[in-house]
Amino acid sequence: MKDDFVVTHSASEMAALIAAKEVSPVEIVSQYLDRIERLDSRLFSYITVCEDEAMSEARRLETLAMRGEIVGPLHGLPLAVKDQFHTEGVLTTAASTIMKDHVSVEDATTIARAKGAGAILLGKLNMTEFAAGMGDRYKHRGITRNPWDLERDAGGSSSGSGAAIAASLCAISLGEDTGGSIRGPSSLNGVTGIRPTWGLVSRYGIVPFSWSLDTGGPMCRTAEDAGMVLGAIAGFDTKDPLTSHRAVPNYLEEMGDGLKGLRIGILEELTAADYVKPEVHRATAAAVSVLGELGADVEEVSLPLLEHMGAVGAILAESDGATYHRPWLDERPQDYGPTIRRRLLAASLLPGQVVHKAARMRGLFRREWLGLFEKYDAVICPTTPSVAGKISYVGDVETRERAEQLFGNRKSATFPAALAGTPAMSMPCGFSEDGMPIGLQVMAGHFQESTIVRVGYHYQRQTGWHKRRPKDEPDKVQSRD
Amino acid sequence: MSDLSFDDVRSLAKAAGVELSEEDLVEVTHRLNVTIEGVEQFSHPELHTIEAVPFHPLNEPD
Repeated sequence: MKDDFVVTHSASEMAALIAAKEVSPVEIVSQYLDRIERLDSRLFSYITVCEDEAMSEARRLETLAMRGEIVGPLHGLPLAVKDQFHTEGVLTTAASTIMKDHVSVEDATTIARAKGAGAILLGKLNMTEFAAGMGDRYKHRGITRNPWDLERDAGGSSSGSGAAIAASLCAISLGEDTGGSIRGPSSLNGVTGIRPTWGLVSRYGIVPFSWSLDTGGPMCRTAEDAGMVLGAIAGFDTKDPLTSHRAVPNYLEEMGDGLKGLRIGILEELTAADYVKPEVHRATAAAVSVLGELGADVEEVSLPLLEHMGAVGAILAESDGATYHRPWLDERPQDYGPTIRRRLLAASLLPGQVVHKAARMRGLFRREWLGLFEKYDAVICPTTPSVAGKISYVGDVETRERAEQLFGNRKSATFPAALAGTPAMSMPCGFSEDGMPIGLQVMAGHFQESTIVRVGYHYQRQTGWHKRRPKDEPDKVQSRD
Repeated sequence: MSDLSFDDVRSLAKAAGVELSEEDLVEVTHRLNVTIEGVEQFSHPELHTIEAVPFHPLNEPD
């Protein structure tokens, strides 16, 4: 196996080579551990590395593979997960001080299923504290750096998942998405992440923020990898009664021959807006051309309610989060970062009428959003309006004007799908002039993950943006957090 | 609706049983005002009749 094997191969390719007995899970795990040792002292994408456990499991799976016994589609693939997923016998901190010594007694359902499909738990990944947004200093190690430029942000809240996949520090990853926490970091780090339909993937064993918005999902190199992981973790779970009883399709068997006849809408409000940077406009326009060349019928579509969904999503997510965190907020307020503490305290004081109005706005939006999918198979827009910015922290917000700059007039391209509970994927669609990845978001109706995986698979076969990798030794030297 | 004052927010916290330090009061007040403003101007003829269902009921096969 070549020294750069894990850099040059997708997870799907690795799985096929393991099954063919051409590569060993032990060698693959060793190569990842070596890369983590060399590179993560600057990236801070991991909180915990399960070195001994991973090597032991790799040896077991290697023995099975040599006997031709493949336990599942993820056989021998090193998996690293956001530190929000409980993992039996392993520290689960949610990147907080409050849970800094918490060792889980049971795996989250998604973790148990991934292991059952043959994945090897390589470690737990950094994130913003309690997956509650950006702005505070990280509690564990340091802020996760963007592998494309160590002076820039890796996004949030699944920052470690985005950075670790981009830097080839794990084969597959899981993130959690409340209003964009899988898709944002996927876009900013140049990887492919899927927020599934709400109810497709069990929430059991994921440290919650918002009960009606949270969902786990895959973050990987390619749409094919993400479809493979999603198929392994999805499906009804008795421990999460709001999961769907539907049979989980084999997403990789439903990718079709191309995109001919697929109807795709470009969301005008989230694509043509003046806050979307020119380089993102250009990359999106180029992606639209490619989708057309692949046979899709692409046209613009307008949905004015989209512009309000950032504000609605923030109110609903934060009021859910404030309720969950209330006991700790009362007992240990100083153990939170100041930005998240004030965010949760403010949400605790939102008048009921305001929260209820936001919930009704969500109802109005959902009705119109689902109507779109009677006309279109998928809709698209940029995932984020700009590439990753320089690392910064919020600090004290002392004036109304500063609060308006930071929290007012919220526009979000990722909250709409979350509020409607529909699936969405971010995948790389180009790079800025200074070498930072740009993400395209592809969304579909409830349980139509096959459509977004299909779009991603054919787009990626045609373009190859997903194959670009950051340098192991970036030119720019970062300042220590 | 006019902005909540610092005193208003102190009273609101007291009524809700939320511990709010003077250190946090300023930012919490500004955040609260900006957040409320984010939805207060919105109007729609069906806003008061649409159901506020928090998630999409799963359409399960028989």
